[in-house]
Amino acid sequence: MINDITLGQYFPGDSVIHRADPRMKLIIAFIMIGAVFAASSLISFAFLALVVVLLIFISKISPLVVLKGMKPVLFILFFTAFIQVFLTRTGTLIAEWWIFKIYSDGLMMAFKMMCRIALLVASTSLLLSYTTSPIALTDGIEGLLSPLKKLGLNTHDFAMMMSIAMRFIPTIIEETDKIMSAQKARGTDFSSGGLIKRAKAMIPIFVPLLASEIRRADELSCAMICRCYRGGEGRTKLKELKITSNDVILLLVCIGILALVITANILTTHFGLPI
Amino acid sequence: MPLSLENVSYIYGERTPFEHRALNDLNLTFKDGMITGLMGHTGSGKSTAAQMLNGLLCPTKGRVLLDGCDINESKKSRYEAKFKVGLVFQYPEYQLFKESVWEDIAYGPRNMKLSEDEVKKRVNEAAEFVGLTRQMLGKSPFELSGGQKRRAAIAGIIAMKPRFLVLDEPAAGLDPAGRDDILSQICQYKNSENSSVIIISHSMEDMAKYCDEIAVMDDGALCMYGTPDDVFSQSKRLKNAGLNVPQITELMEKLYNCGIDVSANVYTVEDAAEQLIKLYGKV
Amino acid sequence: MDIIKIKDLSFSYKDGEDKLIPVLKNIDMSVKEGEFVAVLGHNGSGKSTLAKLINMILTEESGEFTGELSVCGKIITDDITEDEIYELRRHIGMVHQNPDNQIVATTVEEDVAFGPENLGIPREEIRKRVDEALEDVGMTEYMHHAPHRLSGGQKQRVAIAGIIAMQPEVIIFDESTAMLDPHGRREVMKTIKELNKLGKTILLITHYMDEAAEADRIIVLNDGEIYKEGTPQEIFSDAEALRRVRLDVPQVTELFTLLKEAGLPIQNIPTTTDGGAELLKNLFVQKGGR
Repeated sequence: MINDITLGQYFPGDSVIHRADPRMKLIIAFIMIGAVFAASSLISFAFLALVVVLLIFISKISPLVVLKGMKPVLFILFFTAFIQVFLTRTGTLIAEWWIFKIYSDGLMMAFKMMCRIALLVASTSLLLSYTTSPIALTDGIEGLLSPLKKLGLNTHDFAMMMSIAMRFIPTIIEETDKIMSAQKARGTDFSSGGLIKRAKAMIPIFVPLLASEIRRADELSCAMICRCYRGGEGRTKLKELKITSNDVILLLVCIGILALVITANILTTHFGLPI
Repeated sequence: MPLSLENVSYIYGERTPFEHRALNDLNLTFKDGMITGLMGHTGSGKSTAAQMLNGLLCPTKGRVLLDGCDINESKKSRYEAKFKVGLVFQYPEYQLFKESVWEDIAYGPRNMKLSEDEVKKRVNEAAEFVGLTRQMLGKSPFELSGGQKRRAAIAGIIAMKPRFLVLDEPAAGLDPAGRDDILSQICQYKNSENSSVIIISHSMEDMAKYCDEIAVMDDGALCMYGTPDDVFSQSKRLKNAGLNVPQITELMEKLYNCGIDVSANVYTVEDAAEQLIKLYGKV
Repeated sequence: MDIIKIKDLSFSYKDGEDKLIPVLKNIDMSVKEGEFVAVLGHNGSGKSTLAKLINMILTEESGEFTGELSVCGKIITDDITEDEIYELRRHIGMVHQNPDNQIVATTVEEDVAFGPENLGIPREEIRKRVDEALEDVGMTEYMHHAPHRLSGGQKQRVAIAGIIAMQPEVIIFDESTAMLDPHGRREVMKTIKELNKLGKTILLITHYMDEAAEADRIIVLNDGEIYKEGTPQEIFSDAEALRRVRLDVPQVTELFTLLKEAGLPIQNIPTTTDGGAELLKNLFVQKGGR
């Protein structure tokens, strides 16, 4: 049952974003990351926030899910904000207590930093983890890496390994769970004692798990050979990645946003516009 | 003293999109000194129920009582329940990990903090019960054959001398003779140690042969309970609970449906033969 | 025509330092095109090794073999090239024991496509084969599901579809039902029988008597040797002989042996419930009519 939770990242759907070519989504995600780091003025952040709202709207992913996705980065979010607030010593002094001094610039930078992290997490998870199945993601990575083939790198093997790993994550989690229960039934105590004792309690899990995975790998490779697998050469694919007009539009929109963000930056920093 | 589940409910992944109710107000008592068979189709909750019995899972609602005490009362009682109720999982051979079979069987007893002499005694006894030779005990568990590994894993639980021994499909994947060997060894163990045994299995033929009482689960609750005769003579109810009936019962049912005057509530070859011979004499 | 032909085949595993452990001894057997043959034997009788030899998974590195093996009319010799082996494997599909360890992809349809993809079949054709294969095993509605969410029987049916999509002439089932519950076993057995009706040659390796009873012919292995060979009726008529090699007979056969001993006019002892019911029905009707 734990496997449901760990792989609960992907929300199947049929939106424009779900259907987009994974390679394109990866590229767009990189552009978005670039845009988020390039953004420095409030207006550019507003642009990006608008994009995230649009992404939520188009992909039909619940905003609550996106907010929940922030949970793991919450600590980083507040920690960086805290550092920004107390270490920045420019602008007007707003408040002072003991050795802590809060300046207006500090508040502003903290706010921007929080925006940056939140936008980064929201946009990449909306584009990738929430709307792209792990297998499509590996296909996308393989596709993007394919120029490296000319350099003699075996991108097919890499992609096959990734996709087998994805396939077996839930199976192995289940297996670990089973072995843990079986050892607990023999009196293994995982929850008490010091660090060394706890580490020692892991041996009854790791040894059988390792033995089991070696056997699994053996059987799987045998099954693959039986199904005439012999590497990427001469192999066709049921699902070939295809770039559609839809993808091109998405890409253009994204480049447009990046351009807008950069323009906004130039306007604020070089021409001294107020925002 | 009996081991009982009292109004036990259990929900997997509560408050997630994958919430699943595995046990639904289950009431079930396993009597002392008996071999009780626990049956049910895959997903009926029988494996979840088994993990309740030794405190591996804690009921969402309800109590698990051993000697009238709630095993989940304290952390300590929950831990100790593992030694009073020994649980052998399905395909237990995958849990072996020590450098020798002997050491692996000794793992449980050592966790009980028994004296070294007592551990030694118990390991040797348990190995004898499951038919492992001295020579096998010195080997690495990974050198044994599939069937021998299974025996070693069962011995690892038997060596803890649990009052209740719970086995989930102990004969799965074994050939006919292997099945009989393991099941009759479990019977022998029960008789000589005066302990109680709970066997989870899909095989009605095996259950009919070895169990004193049968409990049938469906949908996370108890749906039938009684002696093998009581339970297996109700083939319709068994089928409704998603269970396979023995080949013999299936055959008699087919005859009954053709309009031949036989009872479909037969599950042994001898009873069916008797009925058919009698009927043939009458026609 | 014999699609698999084995003459005086012996095989020994290499165990570490040049120690040889004999697994199969002087095996003579053949399987005709379209036939349904069951190989029955106790745990460790060598039946899985036999399957692996036929599919050429065991090479000289894993052990030593002598004798002759021919598959699909081609005699396997020492100088067989890797390309030829691949070509032959396309004709003999194999479904293994553990349903978890033979599914490669993260969705059902992509897993079924795995074999045809390896063969370099054009995409439109793969699509067609995947759809047909899923239809054949009754798993069409699960096309987009993740394999780890399926039941054991469903996983095995997906594995079977993955083999059918390669369009082999022979399918070997290497204890494919051993890890399934009765429901899953029934699903898989039903699929196997349907495939045989579609003209596929089936080699079923099992230690379940009721499964072997469905075959046209049974080969019983004991300690690496052929112990008995014949129709299910012939094999199951001697319960004692089977029990000696750690096997058993189906309940139906046991019942009819008792009935025959009691003097009921039974000539051929049936091995399946369908056959048994039919026989008894006729018997009662005949006697009642007289």
